[in-house]
Amino acid sequence: MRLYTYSFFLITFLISSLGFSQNKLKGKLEYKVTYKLSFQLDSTDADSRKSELMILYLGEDFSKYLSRAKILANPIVREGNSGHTARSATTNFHYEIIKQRDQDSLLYLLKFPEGDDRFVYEESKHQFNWKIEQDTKTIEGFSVQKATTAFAGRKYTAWFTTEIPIADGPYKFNGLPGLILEISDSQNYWNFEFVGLEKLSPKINYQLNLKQYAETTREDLEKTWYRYRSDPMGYGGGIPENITISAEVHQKYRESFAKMLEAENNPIELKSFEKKP
Amino acid sequence: MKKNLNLFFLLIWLCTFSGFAQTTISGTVFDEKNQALSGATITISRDSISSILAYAISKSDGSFQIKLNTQEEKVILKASYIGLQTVTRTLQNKTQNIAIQLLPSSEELKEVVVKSELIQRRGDTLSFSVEAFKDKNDRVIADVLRKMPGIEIKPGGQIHYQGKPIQKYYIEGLDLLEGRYSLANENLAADAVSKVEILENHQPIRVLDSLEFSERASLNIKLKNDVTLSGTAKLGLGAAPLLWETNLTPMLFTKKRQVIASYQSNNTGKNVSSQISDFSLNLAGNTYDIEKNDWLSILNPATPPFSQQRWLDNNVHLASANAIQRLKNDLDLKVNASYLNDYQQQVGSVNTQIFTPTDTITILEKTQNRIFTKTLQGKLTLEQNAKKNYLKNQLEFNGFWDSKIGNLHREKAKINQNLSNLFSGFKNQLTILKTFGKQLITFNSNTGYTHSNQDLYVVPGQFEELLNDGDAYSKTQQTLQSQKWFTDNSAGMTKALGNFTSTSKLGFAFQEETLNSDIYLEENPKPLGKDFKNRTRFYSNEIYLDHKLSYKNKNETWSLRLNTPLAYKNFKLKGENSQNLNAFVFEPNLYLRRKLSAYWEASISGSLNYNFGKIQRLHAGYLLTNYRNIQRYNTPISESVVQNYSASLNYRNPVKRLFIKGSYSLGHTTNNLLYSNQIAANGATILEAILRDNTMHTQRYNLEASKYISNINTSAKVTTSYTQTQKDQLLNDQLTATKNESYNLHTSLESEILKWLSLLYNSTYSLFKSSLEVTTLQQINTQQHNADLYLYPWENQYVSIGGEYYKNSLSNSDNNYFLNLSYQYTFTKKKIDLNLMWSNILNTKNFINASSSEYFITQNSYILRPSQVLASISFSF
Repeated sequence: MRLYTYSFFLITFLISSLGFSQNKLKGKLEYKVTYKLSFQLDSTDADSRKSELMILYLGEDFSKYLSRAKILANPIVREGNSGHTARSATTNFHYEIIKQRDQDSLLYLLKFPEGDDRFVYEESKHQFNWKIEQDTKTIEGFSVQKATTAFAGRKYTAWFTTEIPIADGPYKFNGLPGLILEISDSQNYWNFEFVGLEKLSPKINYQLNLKQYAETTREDLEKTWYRYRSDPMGYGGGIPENITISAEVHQKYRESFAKMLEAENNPIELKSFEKKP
Repeated sequence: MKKNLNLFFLLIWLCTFSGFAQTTISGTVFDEKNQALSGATITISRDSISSILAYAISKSDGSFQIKLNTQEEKVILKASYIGLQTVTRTLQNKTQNIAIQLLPSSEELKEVVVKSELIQRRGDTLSFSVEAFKDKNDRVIADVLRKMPGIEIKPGGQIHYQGKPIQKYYIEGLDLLEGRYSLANENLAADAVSKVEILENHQPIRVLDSLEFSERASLNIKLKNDVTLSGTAKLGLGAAPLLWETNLTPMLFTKKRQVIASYQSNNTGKNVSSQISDFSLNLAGNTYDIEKNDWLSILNPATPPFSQQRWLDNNVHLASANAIQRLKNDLDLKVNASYLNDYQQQVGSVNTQIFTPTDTITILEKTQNRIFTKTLQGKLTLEQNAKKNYLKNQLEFNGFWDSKIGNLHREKAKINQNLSNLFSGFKNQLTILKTFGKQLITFNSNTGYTHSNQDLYVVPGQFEELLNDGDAYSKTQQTLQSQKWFTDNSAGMTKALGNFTSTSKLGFAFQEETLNSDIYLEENPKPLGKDFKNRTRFYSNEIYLDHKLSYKNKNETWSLRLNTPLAYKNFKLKGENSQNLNAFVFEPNLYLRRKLSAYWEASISGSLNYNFGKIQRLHAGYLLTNYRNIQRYNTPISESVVQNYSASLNYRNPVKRLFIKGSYSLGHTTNNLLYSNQIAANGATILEAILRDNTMHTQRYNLEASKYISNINTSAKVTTSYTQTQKDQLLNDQLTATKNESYNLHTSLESEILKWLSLLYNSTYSLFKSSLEVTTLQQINTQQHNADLYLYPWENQYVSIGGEYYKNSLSNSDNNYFLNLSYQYTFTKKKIDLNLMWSNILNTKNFINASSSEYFITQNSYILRPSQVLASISFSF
């Protein structure tokens, strides 16, 4: 029996020191662009309109887009032992989007709010067939020009500025000859407005270890995320042992979650709209 | 209009297209070191001020290509890259290839400061109008809350927002009930509420506001009127026998004073105490508490593992009152009090088989117990929540007046047990938080006193050999008084350094416990001699320095927790068995986790602990703890050293819905005392401790796997474990090195076959083997299966069918099954709910289950509630 014991520890140790091939993304973030995103998750209920601040970090080689709540959740002092404290704050958007400048694809990263599951999918950066219009205006002192595109079942109008020569923007939007400062769909369900631009000093070091993320596709991730949201308890392979819940109550749970999710009928990328491969 | 516009653009486009030939401008962009620049923007415009006609973004090799449809002879090309000087060139409008070099620039982007109010609004308030969510079926605010996005209400009543428990439940900004908020949540009429505010990232302690970012949300209930009187009432009647259920909960709310009172009563097996159970998190984890300690007991069968509404025979009354008064701007005074009166009956039987080295003893006990409970609980809280300091003082009182009467039938005997159990306890807890710069200082002081008075009568008297020279006698009486007082005071500091968080705490604690007990025989007014009495005082003092360090690297692939508590402990025992013990202990505890990849994770942990005897195991005189159990510990204070190590490897693939986890743990305990059981032929057990060094080894392997099969909405789970324990055991004076092995296999299936039909199946096989060196003493197999089917054929109807089956290798009767069928119908009219429930339709009489342990197995049979129908009506006001 002793032998088994030692071999178990040994194997565990060996696996941990195997040194999985590194697939890291490393760099410095130089600028922080803040957008105010206002959105309506239930298209039938104008009262469901919410807003949140979103951040686009611009770096030397890549950009990173995420909810501001994810950045705030980094306390100076935590009381007591914080080994169990999750870092995600309350937000509707748990994902991050990474656009590398010299790659043709973008990365969509998602870490589930409870637990440690991380996912990534890759998608082409060139999904936007922009049409440049001649209209111009100014936003916070930047002169911007209008461009239009269609994306994931919606028509968008964007305003970009060549004064910030980065072909980037909020969410997955990119590919205009300057930063997108404002973009909204034709029904104004999803509306990104520019609120601020700040040079970071010192620059923020950013490192991403893609080995920690399970590779998947957009369709699979949407299914897994939906399953997690509709039954957070049962999702991780059955109800955990430390939770006692009767099947009847569990059923009621799932019903109420299903109702909640039904009301979220208006995601930014429409489900009915299938992307061409 | 839109159509016309489109037509117009189309015309223009056609004109431009037909009129001019297309030219292509291509080239490469590079920097001062001749490195290709990817992501540079190249635009073409008519002149330097007009808008863009065409553009390109350079690829990773720096190349670009722009197609141009314009009549201009000359165009302006601009190439830009962040941090480099923009190059502007005037070009002929013809197909060409150019090279562009961009040189460094000192010019920076113009900053736009985010307006401060947007940043500082950390506590983001979301407000939901109740009218928008309410429909005609909703009576209380919990019904409406359930429907709000992100909010869930757990079965016990705890509220979660975005998957995390809420921090506070305020009504008009006042925190009346603290963690017991479900009383308000489940009784406040939805009609009285105008809005529900969700305070996201809410930090309820204002001192911490700038230091600690809270990730949890709080709720604030906004009422329609300045003065609101509200509440709910429920009345239910049923048969047979006569059943009732009542609930009356009036409430009064004003801006500065709030009161909630509640009266609830039923005899339907419903647990009313869940509404007063506490969901608040304790700020300081306490080892010193005023928990009730039951020294003496009467024999009762194990309760069935399913919902108590199917077996609990109760008659409960609960009254509670809660009030809050805002004294000053940041000073609140709160009073909470509750009184519970319950009468429960338990009928069942216990079949025990005890395996001694020489013999197998079988006991069949039929029990009929009556339990009377009276509980009074009160709390007085003063809370000051100012910007610069936080103070909370809470005075708590718990009183229990329990009495239990048990009639027990055995093959040749009838035994009456009568227990009275009085307990009272006070506790005062003071917490002060202060900040010094970016550090947080915490002071805690916790002082308490408990008193307990317990009397057990057993008729006829037991343990004739030990207590009465072998002569039969009519009655034994065990009397017991115990007292305890303690004080625990500490100061702590929390600090964060990069990815490390460090918490230290320095404190001291004193505790004094006394135990006085006597055994009386028959009507003799004089108690038995010194072997049967205790006059024990036990002092435990300690000075401690706790230190906790936790580390998590940025991408959370490594995490570490190291606790290094140091303590100097002093124990003094006075009485028959006076002694003194000093110890300096260091009890490190380490946990290390490494995330290897997206799917694999490994962790190891190790801990060392020292345990010292508690007063429950320090009395030198005998104590009759139940009618067939008597024990004493005439030995030094027990000292044990416990080492635990474990390692686990985890595979999670959420995309494929496959989860596998394997773990191994190893435990090693050395103890200076060995416990000896003397079991007589009638099952009477004498427990004593003997001074003899001994060790215990435990090993455990565990493997669990689960898979979700999406096309049939089913999750399947298999868990297997193997445990081996080796230890010395004294059973009827024989010292034996025993080895116990147990193997368990648990499978479960959970399936949502259709929207209105779900199925749950569980089964457990276990094998228990105990052996003495190489000889196997005994081997027991048990298996248990249960299946539940839930049907929701129509929205207001619900049927559940449950079945259980179990079998074990020792019992003769192998047809132990159980079936329950229940039906519920809800009829809803505006503001009134009518509910009809028929449970245990097949009128199943009793439930049998079995459990096994090292040297005995027990089989419990429990009488269930009979087939019954209950109609209830509820409304709010």
